[in-house]
Amino acid sequence: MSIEELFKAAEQLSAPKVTSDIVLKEQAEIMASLLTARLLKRDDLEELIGPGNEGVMENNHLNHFKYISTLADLYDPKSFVETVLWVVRTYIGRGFTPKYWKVMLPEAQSVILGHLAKEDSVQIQTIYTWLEKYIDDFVQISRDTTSFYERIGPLTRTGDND
Amino acid sequence: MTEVSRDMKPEEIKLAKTYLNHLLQARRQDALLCIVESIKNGTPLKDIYLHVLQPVMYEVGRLWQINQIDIAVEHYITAATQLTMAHVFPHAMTSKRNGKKLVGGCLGSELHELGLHMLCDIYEADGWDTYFMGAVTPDASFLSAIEEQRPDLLCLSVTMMFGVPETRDLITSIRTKMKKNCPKILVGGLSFIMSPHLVTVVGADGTGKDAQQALNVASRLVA
Repeated sequence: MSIEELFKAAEQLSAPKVTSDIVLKEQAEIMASLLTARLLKRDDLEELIGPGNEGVMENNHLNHFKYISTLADLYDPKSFVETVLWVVRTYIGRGFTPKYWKVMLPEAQSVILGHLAKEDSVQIQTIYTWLEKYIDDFVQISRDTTSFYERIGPLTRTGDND
Repeated sequence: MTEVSRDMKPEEIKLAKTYLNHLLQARRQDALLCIVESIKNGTPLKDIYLHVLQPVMYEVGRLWQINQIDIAVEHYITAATQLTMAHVFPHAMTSKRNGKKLVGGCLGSELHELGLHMLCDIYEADGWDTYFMGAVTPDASFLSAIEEQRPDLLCLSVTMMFGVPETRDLITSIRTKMKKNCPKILVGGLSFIMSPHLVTVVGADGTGKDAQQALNVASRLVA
């Protein structure tokens, strides 16, 4: 799958209409702590995130919930795809494996749904269902394409810093 | 947005790599001196900003993303570049004033102020009077600064997507309060480079991929 196809797929995803975006924003830290606690209990954590990356993972979880609350307030398909791609590229660069998201996304969904009104849950679930469907494509595209910085950075295109 | 800044010249690529290599080896003074030397040799301030410092900072972002440098190095290079800009800024104050005024700031939780700082310096070099408020500027401060400074142009910078809804809400507040006296509003930063469509979503009048593009757009908006 190409990034253009991902953009099109993201355009098919309806903007989540939730009334709880403020709740999500206010409780991002709590939800991140709960998610981190769940992941820290796993015996295979080092296999998922690489050695010594617990703090990096914790930071990612906080940003994840803050970003989900942003999506609930303002959904823009292009920046959604670019942001997820940026996240995948950044954390894989730090030793995270694709399997991490296979574990993290369902756990995050479980945590977040515990904090939402029932009518909002369906809206948020569509985001997670979409992410779980396309996460392998994000990983593949992050490997096969130049990064955002490489696309906009003229110095990068001129070669190594020698 | 059709204006695209020109490519880097070979001497700019060489200078940018020299500057970056000095900083990667924690040689702040050497880095500063090579920029000062270039200015003394006649390189315009705008070219130093757009074709040396900005590409260096994008490269620093890339190196951080692929984990070749850590956050400490990124912050060191950012701080060193702010020092460099402060050192060469007097060169921006030599041009004639054009009677136009700009207020700029990063709102909410936005900590990435370097891009807007560069933009304000470049506008200053172009003859504008600028009122740069830096990172994490509260909404109320934007409103009071607009009322007190009466700018022709307001520039808002957002790197992280978290700040885009805040930008939309702030622009709505400003337009509601200022009505016909509302300055033209430009937005910029990584979020808007990623998705230019967001410029319309937040209710801004325009954007620029870099300070030169923003200056071109502002020239049309503020006659």
